[in-house]
Amino acid sequence: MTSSTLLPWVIGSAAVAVLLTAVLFVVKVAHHDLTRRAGDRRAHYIGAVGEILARRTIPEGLPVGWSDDPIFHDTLSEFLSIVAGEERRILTELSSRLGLSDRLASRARHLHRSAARAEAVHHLAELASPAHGPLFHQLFGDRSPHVRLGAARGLARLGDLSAVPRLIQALAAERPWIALRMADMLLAFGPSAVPNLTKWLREIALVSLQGNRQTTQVIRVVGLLSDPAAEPVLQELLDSPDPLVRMRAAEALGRCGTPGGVAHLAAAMTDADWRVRAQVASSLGMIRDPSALDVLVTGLHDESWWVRQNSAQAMAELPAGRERLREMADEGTDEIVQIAHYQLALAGRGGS
Amino acid sequence: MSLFILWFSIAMQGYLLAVGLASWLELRRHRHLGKFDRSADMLSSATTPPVSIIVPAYNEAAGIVDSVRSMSMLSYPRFEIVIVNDGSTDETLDRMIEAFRMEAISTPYRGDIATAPVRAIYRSRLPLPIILVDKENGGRADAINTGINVSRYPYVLLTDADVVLDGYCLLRAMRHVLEDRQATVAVGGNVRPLNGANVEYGKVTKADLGPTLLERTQVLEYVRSFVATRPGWSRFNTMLLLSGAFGLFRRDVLTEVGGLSRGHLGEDLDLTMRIHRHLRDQKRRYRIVYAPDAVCWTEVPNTREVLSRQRIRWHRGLFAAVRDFAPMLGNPRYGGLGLVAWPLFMLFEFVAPIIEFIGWFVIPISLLSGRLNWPVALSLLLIAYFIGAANSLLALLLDEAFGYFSRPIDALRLIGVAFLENLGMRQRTVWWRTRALWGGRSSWAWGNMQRRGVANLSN
Repeated sequence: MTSSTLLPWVIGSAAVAVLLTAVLFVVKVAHHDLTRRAGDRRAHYIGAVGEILARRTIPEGLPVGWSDDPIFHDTLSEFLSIVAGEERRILTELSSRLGLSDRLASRARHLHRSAARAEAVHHLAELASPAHGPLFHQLFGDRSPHVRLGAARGLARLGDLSAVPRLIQALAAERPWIALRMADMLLAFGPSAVPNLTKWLREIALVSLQGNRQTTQVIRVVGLLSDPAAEPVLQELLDSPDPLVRMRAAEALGRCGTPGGVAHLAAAMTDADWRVRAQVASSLGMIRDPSALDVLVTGLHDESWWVRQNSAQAMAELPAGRERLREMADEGTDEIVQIAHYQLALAGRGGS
Repeated sequence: MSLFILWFSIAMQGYLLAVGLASWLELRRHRHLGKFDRSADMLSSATTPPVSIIVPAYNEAAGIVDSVRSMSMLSYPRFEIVIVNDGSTDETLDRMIEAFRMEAISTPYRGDIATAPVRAIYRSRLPLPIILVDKENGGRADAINTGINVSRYPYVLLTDADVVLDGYCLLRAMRHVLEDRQATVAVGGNVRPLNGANVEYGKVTKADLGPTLLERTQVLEYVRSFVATRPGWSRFNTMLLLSGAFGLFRRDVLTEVGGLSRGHLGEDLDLTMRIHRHLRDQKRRYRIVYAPDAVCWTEVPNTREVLSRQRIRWHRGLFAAVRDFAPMLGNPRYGGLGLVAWPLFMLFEFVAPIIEFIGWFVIPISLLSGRLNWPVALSLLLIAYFIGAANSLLALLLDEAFGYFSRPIDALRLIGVAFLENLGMRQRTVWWRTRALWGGRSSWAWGNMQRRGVANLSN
């Protein structure tokens, strides 16, 4: 090895370093300039749209460039996500006058880049025009998960219940992150989605008895919708062989919050899995029915720390339960005294 | 020998370049996900899991109140902040009690992990989810373990009292958890130097490089480590170190491994390695990922003395980890971690400073004795120097995605540091790392850097 054989390597490495220096400097300067310009345009759009909303009229001769500018699309979407009623109508009309809806629909349909399609469909979802319902259905079958998510958002915004079964399917088919967002879309339908969801639970989950991500998500959504109409199927799911399903069913019953669920939940307090028992105790606290008190007192002696804690917490939700906790704070064993004091302190009714 | 050392330096820079390229691929994927996955939807979603933020505090009276106030403003639907006062001798406890109207409550304490005795647990009377634990002094690891015991939620964020968390960092880190909730056991965040930055109401409004060359060099080091190295390792699920300033963990996994090791100098490295070992031993599917967009800011040393102490402590931690996890080295049972990541980490982080230190003596002797050809040695040194600078420049290019230091003058300063770093500063770090290998100061459990406090950083 001689210095002459190494010379090309020295020159090469120096050239790479110099090239990277130049690229870095140019990128920094360009980025700085682009960020500043984008900030200026954004500020301009915020001001303009804000003024349109304040004046409640759309001026004639809107600049044509607005509908082509992604920064305007973002700004308009942000406004649409926070306004309602008359202001929403004005913004919808603004997008219509600019021809934005058609332009976005065309982009969502025809562009090759999935990122650009996703961007267009998310803006369309914010506009939520009933005319785009068929397009959203079509895009729900797109190859990009981000486009499918945007389409689901649009369908949820439109309250199109025919999309619910497809959304339930998506809970299983999509990767976890997208599936969670699809669950959010199901929630966005509100209680009107419950009949479809309970029908699925009855026809699929109860028959297959197989707990999976899809089943637990549907139960969770049903619980969050807090519709008492779902209670019968949730009560049946408390007998599922899968502890995760039983846990989610107990949680959902607690959220539905009617005394009708107490007897079933009380029976589940003897479940072999401590996670189910802990959730049952919490749910009984959510329902706040005095008939659950005896079961909760039993829970205070459970072998699991979480069941004992949750039982005490649930007792603190009941007037009679707080009374019982006060008695225990004076007479119980060390841990129960401590638990009782803690829950009473949290409930603001005494304790140290 | 001299030629070996010179070639070793080139190989090390080549290794960094390869990891930098892997990081580039990973960051591209992150950018795409970040743009379309709508992390902000988590804010309004009922399915977003709650998180406990655990903050150990030892003599942090100067900044604890502002830090907690800043943390309480995080954009996340449900979280609690658990401050663990580790027997502070200053007014940390009193300031917390006064500022957040904390009141002592008799609370059930779950002893999942053994810790020093807890004196009292306080809860805020304000509508803020703050819990203050006052305990006997036991060190940072012990304080965190206490926080893990007290925490209620399934995920815990381990951080420090002197950091400023970006408003969306928790959301962005948890987004990675929700990508695969079954497998994701830990998420590391992007730590950036806070020196010189503008902080208003507990938020960084403008990043800066800091006024001194020492601070700017550390900016470059952090960028290289957090932007050009960790994403690359994360891509292959072989990330060896989650920073103590920002590490999000599944609580059950932390209790399974017994929490942080008390008295370990490199407790963050030790914890990450133990999680890897535990889960691989059990043949469980898991991921430890890096979230480059989950940013937190921390003060870095602004004097040479403090920096040297910090680096020596870090390197002793690495030394302890090398000793503890030696059986994993080259062990196929640990997959890519045992066969590639851990050996490379050991070679280039632990062994390299020793080799470089030896080179300071061997190369001049060889040159003077005529056993090493001057032009060849110079050529090899220049190659190593330029590839080293290219690594730093590549890291800065990758960092451009985050949009910090966007002024052209910052670019010039950073480019200058990239070329100057290898002319003295790097050698100084090698000296500190080498010094760490022989005995010396005894107590390194808590750093004793003079903090200015988050509120006082406003320019």
